[in-house]
Amino acid sequence: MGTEGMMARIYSMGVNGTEGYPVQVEVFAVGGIPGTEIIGLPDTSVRESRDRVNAAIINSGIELLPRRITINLAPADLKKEGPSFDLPIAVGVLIATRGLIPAEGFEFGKTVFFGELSLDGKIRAVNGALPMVISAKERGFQTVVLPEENAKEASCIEGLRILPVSTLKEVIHYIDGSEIPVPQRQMTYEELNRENIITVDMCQIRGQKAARRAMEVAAAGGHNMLMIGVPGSGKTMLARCLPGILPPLTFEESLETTRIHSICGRLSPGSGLMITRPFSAPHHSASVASLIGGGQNAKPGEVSLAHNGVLFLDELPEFSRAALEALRQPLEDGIVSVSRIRHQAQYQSSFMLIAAMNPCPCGYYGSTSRACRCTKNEIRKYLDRVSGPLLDRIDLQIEVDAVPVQEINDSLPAESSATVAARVAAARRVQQERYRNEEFYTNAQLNNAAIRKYCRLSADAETLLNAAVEAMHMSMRGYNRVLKVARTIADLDGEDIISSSHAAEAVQYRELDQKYWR
Amino acid sequence: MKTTYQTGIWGENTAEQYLVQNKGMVCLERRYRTKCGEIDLILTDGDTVVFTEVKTRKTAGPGNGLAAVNIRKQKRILNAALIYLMHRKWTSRPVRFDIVEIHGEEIIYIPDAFRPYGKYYH
Repeated sequence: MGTEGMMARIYSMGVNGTEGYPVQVEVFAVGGIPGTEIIGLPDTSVRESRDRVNAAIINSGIELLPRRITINLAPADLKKEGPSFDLPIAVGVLIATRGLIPAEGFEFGKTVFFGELSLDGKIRAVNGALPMVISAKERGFQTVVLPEENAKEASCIEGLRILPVSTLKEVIHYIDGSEIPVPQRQMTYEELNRENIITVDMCQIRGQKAARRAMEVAAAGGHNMLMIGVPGSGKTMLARCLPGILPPLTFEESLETTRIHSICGRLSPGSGLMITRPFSAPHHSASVASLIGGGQNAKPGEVSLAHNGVLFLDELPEFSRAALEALRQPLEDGIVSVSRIRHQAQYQSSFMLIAAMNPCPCGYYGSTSRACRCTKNEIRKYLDRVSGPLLDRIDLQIEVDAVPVQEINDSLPAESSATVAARVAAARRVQQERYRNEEFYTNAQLNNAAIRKYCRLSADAETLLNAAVEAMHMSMRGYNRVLKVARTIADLDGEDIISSSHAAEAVQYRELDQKYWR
Repeated sequence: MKTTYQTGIWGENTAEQYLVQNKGMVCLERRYRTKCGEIDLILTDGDTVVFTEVKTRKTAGPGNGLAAVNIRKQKRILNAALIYLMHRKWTSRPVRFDIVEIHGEEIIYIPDAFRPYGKYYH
């Protein structure tokens, strides 16, 4: 006498780094001492799912027979985390205890389930839905059953049937064949709200003509930028304008960026792919791990959250030395490797660095309006917190002074972000066209060989630059960076050959090196 | 005045009567005792083996007896149940753990009160 064991196998997805991997949820129910055990390296949130699942099943009106239930999450050598296995576990338990009889020919082998359960049987959104859906498609699954709030995020992935569900009951009806949920409508990227959400518009900035121009150049060529200026001169406000003048994310860029935000749980519920470039502004007390990524599970840091967008570091010298030096690798390679005990992950981190700082501890060194009361030594110490190698990676350096009162009152309304964005977009198109056979997209990414190939100078410009190199004791690297910036300025003008005025403007953006860090 | 022991016996008899007559179960054992645990009543409900703990309370309010079946008590019941099942060679029969609280005239019956397989009980 006895109850024959019953086995169920449901597919789900886990996330490692920014990649999803398939997880088989095996459920075995048999007579004997009743209870539930979860094995296969679950972390606490997965182990707790037993209690959520039991409550959700009972509250969906199904009797859960007392059986000895063993749940295995395969592959058993990868650590499973997060509550997204609640739904596949619940489905497996229902089938193994015969509380749910699947419809004839239901293909569990081609269907992926994920979602968090609440005690009353509702299904909550989970982190990492986008990478999971992408991987499900790559592995040849045909249907994904996911929480309704995650459906829009996945709606741009082609070739999959996305079934949004909001309660366990809906899933039960789907599996027993009584009612199939309405599939999520396939959406193209263009269909999603294409409006760039502008938080600060350029027309709100009074004066600061030089700084505005530098922002435009930085945006057009993807250059890193450093602003040095007295307190209250508008550095932060200028930086906040940047996402508004950058071109919107392309579909591929959006997938990359949304993936990272998805696993960090930074997407607002019900939102789709990201359209506006991310703007990440960590406080200067940020640790290396929070900037680069880390924690037990090697989660992405601010540099990766700013992927394809802007990383703004206000009060640059106040950041810890270790944090600033750690930025060098992502700045150079556009990718960071995070290694921790349990996980190793690589995250993309190709961002524009915009930094702002005061020229000295009191803030007024070099100001036209107020005298500085710092000693030479204090200034030197302050500036030296920003290392040479880091400065070397910043193409544009500008000084931002306070705007005089009459300029605030008199000046006409300035150009809006939309106008500037149009010019930036045009310059970006020129670059895209020129570099279509190369591995890079923007002028900022040019290597030495490419600089020689693409930055052709007029005769005037060459003489001017040679004189500047002489006078400013510029290094070869400094010279190359001037050329890259000059290339961008010429692109903004729509010209193929760099003229002397383009070169002259580019040289200006190097002068701060000379003034402060001699 | 009954002693505590007599109260216990009376409660178990009342519970057995209730389960057999009202719930249609069949009684297999009373006061099953082993070195590492004991069970008040062992019955069968159809195919399912039911291990029942009976708590008799005269004074405290209802629910007090149920709360007394804490994790330590559950472990003792589990141990005895495992020995009993092994003795009978019932390795894959469905099993259930019930609690009955006798409270004067009132009988509180909790079928499937706890499921002791899994990490919590190790």
